[in-house]
Amino acid sequence: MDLIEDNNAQFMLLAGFLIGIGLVITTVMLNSIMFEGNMAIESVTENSKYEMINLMQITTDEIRSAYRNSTEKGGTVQNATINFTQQVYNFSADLPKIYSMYGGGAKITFENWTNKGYANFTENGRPGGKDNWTIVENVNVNYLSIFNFTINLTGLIFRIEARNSTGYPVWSVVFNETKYNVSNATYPANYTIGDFTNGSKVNLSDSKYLFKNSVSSSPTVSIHIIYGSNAFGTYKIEGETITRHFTRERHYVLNTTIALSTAKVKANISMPVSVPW
Amino acid sequence: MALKCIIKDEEAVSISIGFILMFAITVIVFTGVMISFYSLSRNIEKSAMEESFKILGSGLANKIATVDTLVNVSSSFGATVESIEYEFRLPSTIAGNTYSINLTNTTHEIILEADNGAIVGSPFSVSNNFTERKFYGGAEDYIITYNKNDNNIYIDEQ
Repeated sequence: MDLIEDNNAQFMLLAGFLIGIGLVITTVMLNSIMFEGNMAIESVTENSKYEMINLMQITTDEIRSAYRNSTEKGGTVQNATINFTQQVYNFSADLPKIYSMYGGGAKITFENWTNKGYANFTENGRPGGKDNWTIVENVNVNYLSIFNFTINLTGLIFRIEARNSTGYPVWSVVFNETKYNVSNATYPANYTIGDFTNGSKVNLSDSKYLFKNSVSSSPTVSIHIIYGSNAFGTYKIEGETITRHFTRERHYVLNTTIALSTAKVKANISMPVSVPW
Repeated sequence: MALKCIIKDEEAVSISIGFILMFAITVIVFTGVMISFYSLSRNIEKSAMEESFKILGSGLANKIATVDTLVNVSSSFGATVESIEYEFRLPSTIAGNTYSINLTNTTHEIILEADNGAIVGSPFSVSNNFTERKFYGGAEDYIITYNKNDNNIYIDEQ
């Protein structure tokens, strides 16, 4: 009763103050509700590219591993292909199970090398692959132990080059239909080694190819293939780079397909895998 | 003397007058707030759209970059991309307004624009070919594809 009868302004001022505060709070709340309600929220995290890179890498590693495991033991070609197929089959069968745990799907198909011809000397081994490419960089010439090629020419010329650290060709060997020449900085250009026979194995570290003599002034070189689509065959290069041991070897190029599907991305990729390395 | 009386006077207004005053003040203040709130809401709508455009633009740029990276990474493995499909969804309206998406090929920019003046540009980067497109809103489902024959990345409505 006292409160009602009280004519003083305190109650009115207090009530007015509370209403004012209430209005401010309401306005701020409505403001933020409206702003948030209008926002379009979207997740930008997308991992499919990392999954695809990972899948391509493990597929390549597994196929190379299976090839080496099956061929390095020796034995018949038939047994080797059976062992290879079994290992890669197990891998391809387990892959979908692993990816299904993450809500995705993965499938690979593969081939073996039975009745398969040698690959072109392009970067990926396909006829339409990159013609001019680098096999290995920073090779220490003094520790190059194997430098072999088996070459079948299908075009006019095929060239293997060694370049120094500035990219200048310090040695090259050119194969054409009838002969093979060596050109370099030390010896006269187009120095003819001899007649070239298609399908023959060439040991380029042999002294007659003048490789070590030519590059002795710049012992660290990179080895390049030029006009790789003009020839097919095999190669093996083994030795030391500045920092570590390396092997580059190709017997065959096995065609593989990879299919990856996630919640948002579906990708089909055909990937040639050079074996054994 | 009169000033002294005012200071000492502890009487205010009666309950009735106080209520009327309070009610009047409340109505006036509330009306003022509502009027300012209306104009404020227009600005908030625009700000909200611009913020949303930034999120959608950077998200779309990220998706295009994902497809582009997949193509490039495959190439580094010597592989050929037979097909890539990246499906995604964008809201048909933001804050109740439709908007347009313009993907330019010259400046490599995603420009999102609405009729209320909200406009935001997000840069994107592709190393493969990209076909520019403009979408005028309304669609929700989109797809980014890659065509290996012309080495081109496309974006279309579904």
